[in-house]
Amino acid sequence: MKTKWFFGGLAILVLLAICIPAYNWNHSNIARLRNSGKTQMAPIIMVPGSSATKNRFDSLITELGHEAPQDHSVLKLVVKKDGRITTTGTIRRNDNQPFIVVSFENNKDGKVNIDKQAVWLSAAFKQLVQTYHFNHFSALGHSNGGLILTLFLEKYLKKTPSVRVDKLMTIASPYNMEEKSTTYKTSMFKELYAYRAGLPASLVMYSIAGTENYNSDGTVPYNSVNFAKYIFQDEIKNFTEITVTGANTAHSDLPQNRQIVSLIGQYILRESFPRKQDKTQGE
Amino acid sequence: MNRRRTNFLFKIDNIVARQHCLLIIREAVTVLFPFVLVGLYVELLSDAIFHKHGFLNNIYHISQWFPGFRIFSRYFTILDLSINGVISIALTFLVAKITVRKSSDNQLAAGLTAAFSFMMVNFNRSILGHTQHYYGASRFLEGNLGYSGAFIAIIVGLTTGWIFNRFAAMNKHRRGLIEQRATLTIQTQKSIMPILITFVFFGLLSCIVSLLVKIGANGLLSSPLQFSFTGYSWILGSAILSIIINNCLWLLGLIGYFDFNNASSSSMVQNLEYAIQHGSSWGAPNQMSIHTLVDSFANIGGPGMALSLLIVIVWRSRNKDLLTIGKTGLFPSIFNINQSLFMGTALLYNPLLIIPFLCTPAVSVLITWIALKLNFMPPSVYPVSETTPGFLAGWLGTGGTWQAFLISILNLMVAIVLYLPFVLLHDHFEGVRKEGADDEN
Repeated sequence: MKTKWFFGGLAILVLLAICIPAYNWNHSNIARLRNSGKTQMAPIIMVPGSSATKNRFDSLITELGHEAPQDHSVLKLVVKKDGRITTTGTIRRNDNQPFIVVSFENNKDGKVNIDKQAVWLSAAFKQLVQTYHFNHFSALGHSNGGLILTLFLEKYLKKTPSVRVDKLMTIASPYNMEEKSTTYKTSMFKELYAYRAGLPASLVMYSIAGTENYNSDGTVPYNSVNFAKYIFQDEIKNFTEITVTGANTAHSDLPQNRQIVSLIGQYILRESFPRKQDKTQGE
Repeated sequence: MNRRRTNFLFKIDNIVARQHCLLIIREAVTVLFPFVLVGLYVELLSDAIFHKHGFLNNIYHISQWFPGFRIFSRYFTILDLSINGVISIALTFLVAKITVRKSSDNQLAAGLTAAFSFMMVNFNRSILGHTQHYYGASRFLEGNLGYSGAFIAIIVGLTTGWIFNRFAAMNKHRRGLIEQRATLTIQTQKSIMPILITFVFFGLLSCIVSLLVKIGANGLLSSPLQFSFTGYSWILGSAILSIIINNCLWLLGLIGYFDFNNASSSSMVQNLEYAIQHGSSWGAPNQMSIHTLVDSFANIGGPGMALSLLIVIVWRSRNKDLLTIGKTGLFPSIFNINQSLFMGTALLYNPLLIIPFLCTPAVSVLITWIALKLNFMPPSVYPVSETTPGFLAGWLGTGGTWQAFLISILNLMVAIVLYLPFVLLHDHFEGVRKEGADDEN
């Protein structure tokens, strides 16, 4: 009988010894979540270039998956011409940096279309914020996707004042369209330049140019990518230009180029990548 | 009627003794049990204490005051991955070895053949297409070498054993006392045929599968096997159905086909952000989801409300084997550390338990659903670590509301009541069998 009481008492003591610290930990945890201000979740919104589909970044994501220490889930959105949005994929719980690919049914080139696509992007963005309640994000654009994102940040991000953008990376984005000249300004550039004051001052921006030869990546002229400086310099917190040369630097290869993949990991994901490529190159 | 029911239950209770396959598996699992047990406690130490998100580490801040925490953490991770991570290889070896008992010479050869074949089946098909740019990817599907590969391991083991029984060269008449030691020539003659047949078979199988299915090593691009339940009107039905199917698959050793953690991820994120903004989880937008119904309330101690099963065994069972399982498994089960082979052993020793194993979680889901529907408690929204004791998960997940704690305890009690008759019945049948055996003597 005595031992029964003893064990009963012991069990209650153990239970209390677990419950009280557990309760404290739980509450400090909730307080931390609440006070952090920034939401845990900070998606990376990817916008492909013209004539590319929602699957444009698959090989990039796979490459990142092989190297990144963390898995990221992928959500793909397609915005139809009438503004309707279809989604595929899911965002995993506890995944604080999911990839969200936003693509457009009308994915044609040209200033008129890019203007339209920026409006569609803002519609998709609004829906994403409503669904996932994040208040900061990073963005990655390839080719014209970078222009769409820039326009979006200049003109439409203000409409959701609770959300801030952390980092933007554009890969081979032709800020002066196909223009090779260093002086002639296209209407696209003029628009981006005119609205540049709308860019958030806290933005950190990386513009990557690929070059197969001294003046282009085969599609986009280096000088056109270089026009980014006129838009971003002195308007945002940091502006960095990076030029990538070597293997796989043709325009369409750039998103899965290994140097660019590790730049994305380093600057956008902020994860430390194992330096495997160095080892294999040494072999 | 009552008699017929008893007969039916008696039949289930006897199923292992009658089914040759199950008998083989039980024997293999019995040999493996000490290893499973060690693995269980290693996992407990590794996950609940020496892990960044371990429950005990979190609440007692062990990492801050315990000297050498990182070294211990590394040490137990190594043990965990090297024991639990490859246990199915041992299982397939044992199953094959035991299957070929009759023509006893080839036992070890069969076991080894099965181990090799098992690796063939678990070849990482996705690296075939990538000859370059595939650094660091494993050649084998490592996830399948642990507990989640148990089903395949058993199938491979049984198939290999069967091939050996069928095709091994029989040479009974030549076997005399002199030939006790197997010479190289004889051993090779005897086993080369079945070894070759097995290798060719499984190699071919793996090759065909690799052509048909492409499973990436990392589940990065959303996989079709993830179920998402969006129809909220049927959430109760789908929750009950999914937990029953999940537990059925779990019985077979197929773990993780229903990913409850991720099934309703977007609704969970919504709930969490709501609770953070409003300061409480009352009135969160997605009251019913797989997470709020299943995760926190119907999985206490592991699938099938394992904690309550182990409590019942320790409390009332008089069967020595079951008691060993119950006593050793109870403590880790408090922290949800629970392995399929461990529970599988319990079910192989008392097949009657399969019935409550499948029904009890459904009842728990129902109770939870009613409590949520009547607004008795808020949905659980805050993240808790996986090693949080099951009966506290609801309480902590709702931010410490006593109602949720009450429901957890109620679920646990109901599960105990449901398990109890089956444990007692097994003891009763055991007694009947013993009497029968005594009468025959």
